[in-house]
Amino acid sequence: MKKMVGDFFIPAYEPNWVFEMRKLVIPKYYGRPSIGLALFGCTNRPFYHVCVFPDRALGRRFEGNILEQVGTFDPLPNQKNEKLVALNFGRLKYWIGERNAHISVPVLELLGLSGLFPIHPKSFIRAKDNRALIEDQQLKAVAEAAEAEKLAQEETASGATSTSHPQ
Amino acid sequence: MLSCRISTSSTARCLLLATSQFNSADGIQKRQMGRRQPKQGKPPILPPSKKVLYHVVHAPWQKPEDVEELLWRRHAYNNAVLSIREVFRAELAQNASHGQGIEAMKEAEAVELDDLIAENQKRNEEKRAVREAREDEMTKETKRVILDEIQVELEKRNEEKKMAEEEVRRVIERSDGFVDRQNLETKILEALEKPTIYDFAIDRAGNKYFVPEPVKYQEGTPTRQKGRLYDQTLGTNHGYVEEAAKKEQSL
Repeated sequence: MKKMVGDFFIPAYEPNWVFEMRKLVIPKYYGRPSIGLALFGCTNRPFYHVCVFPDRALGRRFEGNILEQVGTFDPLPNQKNEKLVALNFGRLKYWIGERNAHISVPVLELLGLSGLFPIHPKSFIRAKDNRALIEDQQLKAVAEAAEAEKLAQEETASGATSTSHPQ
Repeated sequence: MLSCRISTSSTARCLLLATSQFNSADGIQKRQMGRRQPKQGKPPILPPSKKVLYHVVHAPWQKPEDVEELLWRRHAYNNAVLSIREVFRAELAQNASHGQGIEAMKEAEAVELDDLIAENQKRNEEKRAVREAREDEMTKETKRVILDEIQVELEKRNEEKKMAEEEVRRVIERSDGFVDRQNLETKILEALEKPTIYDFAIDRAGNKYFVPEPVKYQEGTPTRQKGRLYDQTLGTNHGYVEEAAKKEQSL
């Protein structure tokens, strides 16, 4: 449960203990603006604004917390199977370069796909998974087709035998 | 229990522990509060339901090869992001120094705004000239129409005036025989001498029948019952028998 490292006492995790209260001011990144997605839209229609927030610890739900909107992201594919993203590169450069803003992972992925940043590692993994999924589906489809063909051949063969020996 | 393990160098840590244990033992609010503000209309003191509170999300584990790949990719990516930040900062600084920064953009926009305003002014002037010409033409047209109407009205009034004058002249001509202050006495005497009596019946041929026959000077008392007076057929025998006899005699 509890162990000593040198002179320090390190407690083990116990679910009943509350180690610290909720902190609004987190010294690690206090005052650092953050770029993330703010969910707009309505029921059954998600729509995101790419926004700059004053702090990661503040909510990104309310408009009062938004410093600036630097883009939009529509997660529902349109008729051409595209998910549309709009980004204001000039302002993004300002916030990223000048103000050293923290960027959330979904926005990093969008930035990577848009070409401002290198491709995010998660995008590679996601692409790999998707490729594997597609390959699986194709293999499955091929196997099903082969099976169906075999069944059809067997049926034709059995039909031929049955016609040769009428009951 | 805890104090026996306190060493001199870990006082702060143990204090934190002690306070946290005190809180949990005291039974004051312990649950982890979300970062989000509660929904509007929901009392903020209301805790989440047990289903939500005790729902544990079991995220599927990542594949080991993915974790391995992510490790080196993330390493490279983070380094790239650091340098990209630096590049952006340098770019912004360069833009600012080469007159492409925000100040320069503001100046350019101010100049553009002035140009646009000047262009707008010019267009307004052109439109104003066109409008003034059009309004002049319209004013002339309106004036002409109004003058025409005035002329028609004046002509009409002149006509009326002429007619009125003519009527007055005719009346004056006719008024020679009228009664006025000067000839009042003579006219009265004239009327007494030659009275005009309109108390007669007339037939289609224009014959006038005076019943009773008018007299210049009334003699005696005029009869009060006049019903019988008119009870006779016109054109056969007028007046009383005596009068008819008088007429025959005079004829």
